[in-house]
Amino acid sequence: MCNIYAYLSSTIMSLSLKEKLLLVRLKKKDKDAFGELYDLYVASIYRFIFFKVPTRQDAEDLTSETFLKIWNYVAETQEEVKNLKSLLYTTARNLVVDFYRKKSQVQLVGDEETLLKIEDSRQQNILSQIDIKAEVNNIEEIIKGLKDEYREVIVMRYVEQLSITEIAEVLNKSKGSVRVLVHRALKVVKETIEKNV
Amino acid sequence: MTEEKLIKKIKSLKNVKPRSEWQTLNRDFLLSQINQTAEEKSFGWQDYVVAFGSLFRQRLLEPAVVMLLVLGFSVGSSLVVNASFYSLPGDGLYPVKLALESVQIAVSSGDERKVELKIEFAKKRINEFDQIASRSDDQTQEKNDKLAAVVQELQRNVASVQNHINNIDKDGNQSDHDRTLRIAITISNETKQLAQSLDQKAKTISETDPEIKQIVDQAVESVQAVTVSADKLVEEEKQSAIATSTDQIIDQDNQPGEVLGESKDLTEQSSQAEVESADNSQSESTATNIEN
Repeated sequence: MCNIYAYLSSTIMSLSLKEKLLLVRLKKKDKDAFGELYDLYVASIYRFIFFKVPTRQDAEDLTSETFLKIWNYVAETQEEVKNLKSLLYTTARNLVVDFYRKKSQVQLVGDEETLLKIEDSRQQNILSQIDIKAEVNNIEEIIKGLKDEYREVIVMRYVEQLSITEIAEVLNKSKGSVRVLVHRALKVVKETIEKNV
Repeated sequence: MTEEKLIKKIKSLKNVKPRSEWQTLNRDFLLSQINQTAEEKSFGWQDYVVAFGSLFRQRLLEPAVVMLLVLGFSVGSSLVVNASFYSLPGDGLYPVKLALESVQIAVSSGDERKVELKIEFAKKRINEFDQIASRSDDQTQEKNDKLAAVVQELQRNVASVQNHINNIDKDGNQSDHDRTLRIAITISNETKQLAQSLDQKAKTISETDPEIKQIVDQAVESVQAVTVSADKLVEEEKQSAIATSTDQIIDQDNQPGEVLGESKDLTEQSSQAEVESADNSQSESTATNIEN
């Protein structure tokens, strides 16, 4: 009986409940709730953006913008927010897409396509720089040099430790595709390291 | 590098953190930004209920509801199928029983199996007839209606078998003929039994129920008509089989290789005769020489 109680306590009264309470409070435009949300996720969201943008300054600006967007969205939306964490990452991701869209100053066809194009050229440069400087053991540089979709699953899965379900929600993909993507990304990282040893 | 080590290395990226002074300043900046839209704190126990309810719905209730629905559907459907098995005309589940029979026929593969099922279901109708007839609690009119419904359904089963006979492809190959013959014999045998048992029922029905008696008599006639059709088909198939085998024999006789073989035999025989006659003339001439 004690075990069941302990299990239920650990599963229900965990971060999920804390998130739900935060959501309810954010919906009520509670300023303290926003502070708590910021403290809880600022490092994770910053990191997620940091690996996607060229400079630290950009990462800081976009992180800040992400939290403001969340505040406005949660207060105004009529839809039920099921997962606050997924919502944060999705918002951050969209802001990065907007960031590159504005930066490119060209007519764009689609968010994903554009991001991939810009990212690819940037990644190629970074990868070549890695080759030149032989910074093979610098995992940070290797991750930054990855294809965008590989990099974000690696960061979400292993750095931020999001579940496959949460990643699937953020990327708007099936769980199966996410698993495949994670597997491939890990393989590429491994190969890049081994190639440069 | 093993995968474990690689993941450990990737996890080390957690050390990438925002500058602490930026983090603090940005927090203050954001709070000042939202200050205009923020409202007075009014957080109470109701909010805990809302949050817990939402979590409960998402984590426990949704999977539980899905599980219950799946369980309910599977148990419910199997109960309905079982219950319908014992249903009789007039029962709510009787149409389900008939529908299940149709599905069973539709999903079964092979003509033989389909015919067997159709006849089996016709036999079921006779069992149902017996069950209704033996009931004493039903009113006479109600009972008659049910009996009429069963016999009508039986007629439908029989018509389906008849239809099957009509649709049989009679111009198929040898294996098709064999199969048709088997089906025709099965139908013939089974419908004979069916007709006998129906006939017995007709005899047991008292003269006070002329209406039912008439319907049963009609059913007997229908079944007998099917038997006749099946017998006719059996005969046709037998004739066709004989004709085929005769044709095969004729074909074999007309084989050019075989005719040549025969003439070859004849040639051999004649040449042998010639040799023999030559031997005879030679021995005759030798005898003449000796005499001389």
